[in-house]
Amino acid sequence: MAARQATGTPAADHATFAGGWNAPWFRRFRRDKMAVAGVIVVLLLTLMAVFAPYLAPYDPAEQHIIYRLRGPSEQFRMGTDEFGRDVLSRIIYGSRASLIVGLASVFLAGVVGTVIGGLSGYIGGRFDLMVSSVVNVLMSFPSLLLGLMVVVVLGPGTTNVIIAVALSLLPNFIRLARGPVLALREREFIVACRAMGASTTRILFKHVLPNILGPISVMSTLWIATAIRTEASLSFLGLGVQPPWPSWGNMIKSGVDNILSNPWLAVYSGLAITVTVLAFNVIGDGLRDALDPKQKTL
Amino acid sequence: MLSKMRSHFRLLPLAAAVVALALTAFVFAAPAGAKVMRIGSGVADVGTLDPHFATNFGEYPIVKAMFNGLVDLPPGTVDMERIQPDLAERWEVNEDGTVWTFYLRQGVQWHHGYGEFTAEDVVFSFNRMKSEEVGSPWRSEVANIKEVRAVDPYTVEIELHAADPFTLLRLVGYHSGFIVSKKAVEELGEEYRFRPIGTGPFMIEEYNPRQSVVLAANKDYFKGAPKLDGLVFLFMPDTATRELALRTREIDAADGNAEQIWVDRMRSQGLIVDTVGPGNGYFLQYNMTMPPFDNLLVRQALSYAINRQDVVEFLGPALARELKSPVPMGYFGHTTEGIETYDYDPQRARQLLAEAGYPNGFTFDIYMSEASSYLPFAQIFQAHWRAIGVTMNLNIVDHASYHALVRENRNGVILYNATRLPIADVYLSQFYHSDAIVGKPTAITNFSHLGDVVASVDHLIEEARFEHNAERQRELYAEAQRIIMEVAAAMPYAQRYSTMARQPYVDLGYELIGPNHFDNLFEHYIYNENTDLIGR
Repeated sequence: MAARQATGTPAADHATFAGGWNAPWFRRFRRDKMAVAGVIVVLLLTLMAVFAPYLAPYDPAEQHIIYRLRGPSEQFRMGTDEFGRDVLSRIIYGSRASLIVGLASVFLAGVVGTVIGGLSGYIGGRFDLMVSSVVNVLMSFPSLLLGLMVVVVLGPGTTNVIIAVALSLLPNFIRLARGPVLALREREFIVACRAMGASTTRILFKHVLPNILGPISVMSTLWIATAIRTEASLSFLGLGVQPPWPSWGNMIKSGVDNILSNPWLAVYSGLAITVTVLAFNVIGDGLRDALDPKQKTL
Repeated sequence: MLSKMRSHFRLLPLAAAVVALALTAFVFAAPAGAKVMRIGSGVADVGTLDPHFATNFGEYPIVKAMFNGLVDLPPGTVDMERIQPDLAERWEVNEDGTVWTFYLRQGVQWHHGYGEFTAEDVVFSFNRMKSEEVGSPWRSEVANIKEVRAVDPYTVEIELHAADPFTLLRLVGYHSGFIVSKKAVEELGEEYRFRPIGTGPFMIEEYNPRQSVVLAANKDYFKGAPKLDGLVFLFMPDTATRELALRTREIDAADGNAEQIWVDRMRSQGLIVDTVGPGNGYFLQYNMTMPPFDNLLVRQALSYAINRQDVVEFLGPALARELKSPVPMGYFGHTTEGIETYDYDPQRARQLLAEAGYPNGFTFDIYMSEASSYLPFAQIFQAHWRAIGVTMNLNIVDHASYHALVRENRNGVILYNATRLPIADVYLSQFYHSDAIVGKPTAITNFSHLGDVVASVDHLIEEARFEHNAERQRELYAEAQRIIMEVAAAMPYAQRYSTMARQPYVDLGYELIGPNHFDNLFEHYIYNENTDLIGR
């Protein structure tokens, strides 16, 4: 009902972000307590990542070997790892790796995937067939496996992990963008635009893009959570952030190695990942519900 | 580019291991009633089971269960005075000590129907060991052998270039002393690596890459059929996995973690933890052909920046000690007298670094093994060096790849841990003689290129090898150790006893003599024909 409001493009199937602070979708979003909590958590995490040097009580790589594998105490609020490094400081700094990889890889995959998917759907024909086939092949790999293969070829390190995670998400974005475009292409207002002599670029940017932005934004938020999990998994396997720098994934790895000496290590880093992934997930759910009230889940 | 890619492909095992591990630990089940001993091995995989090539702590105990030497040490000790017969029943030596005659045991059969063991096999084994083409890493230990002759099928003469006071010790079934089957090596070729044919109490049954090695009892073993029906080595590179598997009795014994906390915890769980010596020497070498490590001041600076106490603290004071000489403590010839030991002095380190032209430090990358006996120390030094402005980036690879990469001269700093025959000669020959420089046809494990660049200790090692006056021999070894430290080719930092854990029902079949001056040679258990599982 409300989804069909004027947004500059005639009769859009999907609601968009237009309308400012008082747009119906935003009002619905604000009412979703879980989603708002998610936003707050993500904001806090972002602040934590940005201001890590001011918040962390210790240098995250500084070793105090005589205090190794201690539980939480006055001196080390979350205890220490096998080298006597402060776990709290490492958790704080670790948020940087997770957020940077999560956001950068989704952004990268989102932009590239939307362009490829959009073009593929709009142009159609052989190009579409080719893209779809490649996507189908890539989709048959679990995203972690795909990421793993890419990192193995490129080598470990944050930049390579971003590329790897982006590549592992790319097929999802391509498919996501292609579907609606395929449907839109035949819609009257697009056909009308074409008949009026509008250029392909103009049609794509002015009419097609705003119509697919909604679902892409929703899925992006959800996939940030996937990206963070993939990064943690790669780091857990020793392929992500390299020592001595912390990432939640490599902290869990060290926590598992020492789980019987100091279980707190795995608990805290595991919690950090859980909370972050959960936050992005509830935001994504909230956005989806807000933007598409017809499919409201119970 | 290709080689870069290849090296990264080596990371794959790391990932695969995690998955494989989870599976192997639970999938394997011994046939009902069979007395099969399950051992958690601390490596992700083995690179070879050919005894002339087995080098790492995962490969060696498997090989030892399948092969024999001409002579052996009494189980559980390294008592050079009590070397006992093995494949040879008795032996004689001529007046000047250059010709040794060994009378072989008759009727010993090779595993899997490869016929009877004869003098031919002994000749073949030593020629193979000596061959540059074959390229065994233990070549230097048999360099003194001039010729091995088969007098008749059951008599072998070994002629030496010069009399060597440690001849028998070098012939024990350890690195260089294993006898292989001529027929099997020739027939199997490349396949022999994972289809080793020996004479020992256990024989190869299966090799499952990244999962396990299964050995079956050799019922015709010449010292009597083993009490066990078989051994299964399960690859469990993850410490916590091994520990949990021990607790749940999924495995009967496992490679230990040489950490105090771990030992205390295992003992409190009712498990037996054995510590064996004479101890693993922990040291690093600088690749003196690779800038900036070709600069003496840089090497000295890095050495001064290392706080050995941190490593000892990490390993546990009861299990480790600071090592300050290139030859480990307790090995014949070890000394620290008159030697520059580079005691922790970060101030001095910074000063030397500035003098070397790096007032703000520098950055370098190295490959590092993921093994828990390597990676933590690299991380400790990473922190030590960071304190003086030097950044070391670690490119972490699996253990077998690390071994391969450092032999390709790819690292500026090489970490290495080794247990060898407890005499200075073996350690010095393998790590500091110019013949042992990696990349040479005679390469062993000299990663520093000492001997080709900077200084040489070749003449000292060679002279000492045939010196019968023990006093003079010690002096020569001391001089070699002094030079190595003076030019900062290496930085020895710790000596550690290895640990193994076993269930209380595992009976080794012999008594393990506790660490003392000359104690257990072997880094890890040797499961022999007397090993048993009592009432599991």
